[in-house]
Amino acid sequence: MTDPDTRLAALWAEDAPPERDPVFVVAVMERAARRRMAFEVAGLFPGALAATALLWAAGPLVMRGARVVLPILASPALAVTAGGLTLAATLWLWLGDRWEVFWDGNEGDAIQA
Amino acid sequence: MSPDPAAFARLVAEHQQAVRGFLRRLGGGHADADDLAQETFITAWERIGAMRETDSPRAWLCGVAYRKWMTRRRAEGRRQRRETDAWREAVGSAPASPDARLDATTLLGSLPPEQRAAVVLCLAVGLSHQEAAGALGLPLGTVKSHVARGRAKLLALLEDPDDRS
Repeated sequence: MTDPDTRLAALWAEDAPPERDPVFVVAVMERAARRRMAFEVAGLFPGALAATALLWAAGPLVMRGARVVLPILASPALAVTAGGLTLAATLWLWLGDRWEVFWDGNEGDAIQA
Repeated sequence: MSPDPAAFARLVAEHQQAVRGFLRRLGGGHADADDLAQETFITAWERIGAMRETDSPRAWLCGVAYRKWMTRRRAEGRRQRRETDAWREAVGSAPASPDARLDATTLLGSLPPEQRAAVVLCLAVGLSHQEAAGALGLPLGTVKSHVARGRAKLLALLEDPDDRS
């Protein structure tokens, strides 16, 4: 190995990284994804801060509204009405499914049954 | 603007060998070189527009890698000086350096950093003198001179390893 270029080529080949290295590529992509997520989280921060400030400022108004609405929501008549409606909706959905199967299957058989 | 992940992965796969090889030859250990190479690609991710404007993405990446390596080298130099000073104060002499091995990194280590970078870019990575000049931010004539002198010195060292200085 007397040719200078060959000797230098051998020097460069020593400990050279592999031509294909999926592990390295994945490591870079993972790092890039982490960096992008950090930027996105940092980008959300001003919005979250503004929302917090808005809620803090609107707090007294929300509390005043709650004082008016909560007694209405807590009344027994409303609770019974809401319970009845829920029960009716459940029954309607449950029986509706059963009737759908009953009628979609075979109308004649269903009548005979 | 973030690049398309699949396209970016292809870019990394295409240039990783050149960038990592360049950084390994500059010195500092394989793990550090690979870490810097990853940082280089992250910079490319963040500045994909700037990279697309260049004629040679490989030269652009090597330029970024070189600047990152220089920054780390300066920080490492400061840290080593602090540690050596602390050692001198405690023991009274400088710590012994580890045995030098005759390998590519050791041989290249005998070249000044700028010359080393020019030699590796042109002779190992395969960039043209013009591309290397752009990557390193040096005049074309300086790069040509660095490469010629560095090559001659490396060949001399390969002939006679005791000639290192």
